[in-house]
Amino acid sequence: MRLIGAALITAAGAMAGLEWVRRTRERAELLEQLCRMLETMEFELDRFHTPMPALFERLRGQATGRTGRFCAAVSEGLAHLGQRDMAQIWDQALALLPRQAGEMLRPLGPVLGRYGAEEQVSAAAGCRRALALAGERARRDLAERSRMAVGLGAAGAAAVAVLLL
Amino acid sequence: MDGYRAASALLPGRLRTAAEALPPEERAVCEELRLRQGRAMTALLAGREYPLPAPAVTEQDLRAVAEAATGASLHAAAEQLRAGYLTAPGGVRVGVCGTAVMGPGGMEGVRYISSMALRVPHEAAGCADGIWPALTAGGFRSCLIAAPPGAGKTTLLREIVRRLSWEGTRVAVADERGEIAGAWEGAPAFDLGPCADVLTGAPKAEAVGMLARAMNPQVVAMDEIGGGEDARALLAAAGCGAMLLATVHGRRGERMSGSCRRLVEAGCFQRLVWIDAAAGARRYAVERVPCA
Repeated sequence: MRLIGAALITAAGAMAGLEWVRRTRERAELLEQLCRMLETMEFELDRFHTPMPALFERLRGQATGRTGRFCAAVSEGLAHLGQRDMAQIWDQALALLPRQAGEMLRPLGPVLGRYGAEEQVSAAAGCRRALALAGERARRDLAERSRMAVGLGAAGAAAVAVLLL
Repeated sequence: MDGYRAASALLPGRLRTAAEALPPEERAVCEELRLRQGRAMTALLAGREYPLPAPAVTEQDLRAVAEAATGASLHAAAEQLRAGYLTAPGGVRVGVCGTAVMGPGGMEGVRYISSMALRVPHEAAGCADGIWPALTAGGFRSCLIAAPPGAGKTTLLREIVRRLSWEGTRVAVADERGEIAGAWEGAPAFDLGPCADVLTGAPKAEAVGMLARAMNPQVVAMDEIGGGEDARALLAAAGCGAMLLATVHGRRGERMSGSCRRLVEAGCFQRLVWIDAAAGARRYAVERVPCA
């Protein structure tokens, strides 16, 4: 019985490590998706001066997962422009993203729709660079620490199990 | 939505509250809402500006108006901004002032917006009733509406278009600034009747030519004849057999601009409508132009 308990505790530690790996991978993927979204935005604004409602309708169709839900929230918010301004719509949609990614995108809200294409592209590029750096960091963490995280989780849990025994 | 409400809907919250507090009788005659950075917002009533009880206008307020007027797409309205205005939903025209960005081809836009004038569109159904018999005696003939700025030329033009259209006349409207039909994303905000075709956004001279060629109109309508190009386009449309309906800045007893005078002298217009807007009340007078 004790051995089964010890094995379960060790497995739980390993699972915690695996969970960290899963969340780090998700974070990296989300940051990369947001980078792609901003890249498309920059291209559309720079080349075609696409109006915001059309732009977010397009992004909503292209993006998936959380990024898709974020674009959909902005797109739906734009239907109520006038009751809320673009910055408020943007801030509200950011609540759908993890805090770190949301904070990196927040400065874009007051710029979108209010300035010329050049200023908007420049602000989007700034946000994209910050997101790309964070994404690279997450990927590096994943490559360097995923085995360690699982090992540490399992070893820590095993140590606890030994103590309990 | 009435014109005043369409204009006040563009304002950010605190300014909108002040604009909506204006009594209905003043709203009905309000010509413009004017915003200048660092100053109180004003309402233009019967040619005079009156400050509204609201905090001073900030740069962010002006940006918010630009955002609302363009559907959060100021960058997509660069062409209009180059001409110094934005066309907003409901037929509201927003005049923009600030620091011009100059490029090799001339003005490219406005970077720092310092003031705005929100022109309130008025739909005055029935305003042409009094002059209708004179305008249509022996059938509608080409008509030029002359008045000083803010006297209601566009309002009268819109009403004549609407009435002609409801009577079954095909009217083609060259609406460069979107003020006549108030079209927003293709849908007109004002009733122009069942037989009106509106071309929005194209330069007037170009639009008149396109409409005359493509839409087989019985009447071609255009707001504010500007330079010689506009006059030439109208002359060509008249040559295609269409009646003309246009407006021009002018006061009774004063000389009209050269290109417009030449149009009248060439017999392109058979009726002249003068609007006198002294003391807020509008009076219309129809003059028959003797045949050239």
